[in-house]
Amino acid sequence: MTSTLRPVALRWPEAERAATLRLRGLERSAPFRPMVRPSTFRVLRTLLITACGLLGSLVLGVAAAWAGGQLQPSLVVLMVAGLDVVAFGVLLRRAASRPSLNRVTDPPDAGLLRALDMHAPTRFLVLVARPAALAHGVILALDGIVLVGSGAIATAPWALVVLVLPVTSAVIIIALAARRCSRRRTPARGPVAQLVIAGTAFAVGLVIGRVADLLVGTGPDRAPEPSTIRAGILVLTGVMVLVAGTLAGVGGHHFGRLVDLDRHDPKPAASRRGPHQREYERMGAMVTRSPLASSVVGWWRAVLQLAALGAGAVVGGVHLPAAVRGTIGPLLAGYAFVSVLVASGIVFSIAGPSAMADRLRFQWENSELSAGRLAARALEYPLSVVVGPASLLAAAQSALTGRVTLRILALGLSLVGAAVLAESALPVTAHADGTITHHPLAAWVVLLASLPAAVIPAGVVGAVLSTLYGLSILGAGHRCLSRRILRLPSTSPI
Amino acid sequence: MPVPKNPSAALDVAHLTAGWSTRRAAVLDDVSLTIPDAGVHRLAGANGAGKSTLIECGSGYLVPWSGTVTVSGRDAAAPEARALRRTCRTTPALYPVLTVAEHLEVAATARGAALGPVHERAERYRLTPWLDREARELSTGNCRKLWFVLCTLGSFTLALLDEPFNGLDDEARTLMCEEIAQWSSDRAVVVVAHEPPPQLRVASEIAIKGHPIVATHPLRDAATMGSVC
Repeated sequence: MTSTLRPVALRWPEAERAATLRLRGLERSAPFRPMVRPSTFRVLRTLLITACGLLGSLVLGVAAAWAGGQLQPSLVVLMVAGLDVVAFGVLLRRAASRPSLNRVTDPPDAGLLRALDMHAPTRFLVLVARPAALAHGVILALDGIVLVGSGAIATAPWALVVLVLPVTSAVIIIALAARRCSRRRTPARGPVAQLVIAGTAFAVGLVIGRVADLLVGTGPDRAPEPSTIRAGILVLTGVMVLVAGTLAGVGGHHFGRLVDLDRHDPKPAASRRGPHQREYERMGAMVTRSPLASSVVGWWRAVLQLAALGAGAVVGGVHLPAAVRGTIGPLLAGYAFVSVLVASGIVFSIAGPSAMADRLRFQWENSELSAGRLAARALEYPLSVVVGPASLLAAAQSALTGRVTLRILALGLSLVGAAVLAESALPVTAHADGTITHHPLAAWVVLLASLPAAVIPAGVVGAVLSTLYGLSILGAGHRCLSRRILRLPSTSPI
Repeated sequence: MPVPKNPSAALDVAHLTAGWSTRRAAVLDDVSLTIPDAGVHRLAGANGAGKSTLIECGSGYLVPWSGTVTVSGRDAAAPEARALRRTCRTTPALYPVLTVAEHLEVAATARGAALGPVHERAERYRLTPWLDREARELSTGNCRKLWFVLCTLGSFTLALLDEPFNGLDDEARTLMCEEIAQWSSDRAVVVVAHEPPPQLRVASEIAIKGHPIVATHPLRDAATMGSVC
């Protein structure tokens, strides 16, 4: 029996990979089944992708040939490298997003996958590593088309170095995703972690800015020399190779640990965190379970990191044109206002004071903590999601525009305070899953209560006034919440 | 490659202590048993005695607190054990929006089995009229039949079946017993069943008694046991 089974055992991973891929394909085609058969869907999809690829390559080739006649080869290479870096950021964001990784760590069809022995390492390879590798393969091909089409390769053979960038980018992304998957129960990022991440982004931007200033020269009257562009790209490629080489080992280690995802370990994970920190992490976990909340909060943090990176680059020596400086301020403030409004609504419906009201009352009854202290703790998570990044974004905005502004911070404070006020003043509808729905008028209350922070004129006095207003609204919200904890009818069984 | 321990036994459990959380009492405490490489072996015991826990240890999913579980001499959690073992758990876990045919296709691919014989088997279980139906549209019995077929495809040396007869009609139970009898000629089948059908011929019965302590009995002679019911 064993001898006849040996070939099966040897080809096992291949069968597992093929089945995971097939299941993924069927999942993708399932919504279209009423219109087309899965096999037809597969063919149509392949045809569409091929046609788009060919058309895109053709257009890109023509554009590259035109650019080759207009621009210096070194500038073409610089543009290709820049786009590679942007693509790296976008793909990293996509690969590291929780919904994407959940398909490996907590798939909805876990029971079926376990029954068919389709394990986490294979799921990771098929659902995370393969798409990342394919996307980078496409980027590599596009880079090649631009370099050949523009004639940059013929005149500057060193430009081939830039083709290393997509390869290193793929290695880094896959390694980081493996690390994130293997640490499935990664706690929610606390305020300190967010500060560290934003600080790191700022530091990276600072280095990039300094290097760009030294090598290329970004002053308004300085044009980059081909030799400095070449040196810059060589340095960038060298850094990427170094990082990819380091992370490849880390990724391999974490990939090896993915097998643990398919086993139930009865030993509870050792935790050095206190109950308060665990409560914070639990709230974070509740919010990140919602794909919409996860997406909004994720993008909010991504913009913050990008702004911190840009601020670092500006402080490092990159000079932004006046028109860009003038646009960044209102753009960031507008984005912050809309994002904070949406994010606070979602966060408050899942882990806000009303959603937590019964728990807060229970804690007040069964602990030494005062209602005011508990109210402050209840506001900690919404504040860390909204106000923490808002203050960092305000700092980044100040660095980018060259003007001290606290408008985003004031908006964040007043939005959170106004949301608590609205929850206290208007009834909410509680659902069986622990979430709540706000009253339709709540959005108007929040908008009206936070409006003064948005319309107070800019300048030092305006910044102080708007911040004071935000703090006042927040204080009022805190007071309402404290009273609510004290007056809430007890549902405690004790 | 590690040297297999006791390769002649389809399932070898040595001093196994296991449970779902170390914060609570162990469900299985210092259990040892050996399932030979052929025959039908029934796990019997009260609710909560630890039969399904033992099955999950054999499937490699539940990490033992102490002791070892091997499948044909290989650690139950090792990748090499997957090809040797099939586990059919109590509750079907089908993908609601995939059809019966698509489930069979994925399972056949995963097990390296040809699709033709898989469809023939599905036909014997009278699943053919439902091939184009999504799993969420199936009746309880059809769900269970599909689940059983999916979980027992391809070549294997050990099948762990947890309450496979629940919710099935007589025809399906008879067919299932025939398949199990056929497998048992050259491989081991461990069945958890509170009320096994009369057609099921068991070689031995292993009684698991009471929570939290488990007593394992040596295999009894099939001739003296007869059928369990």
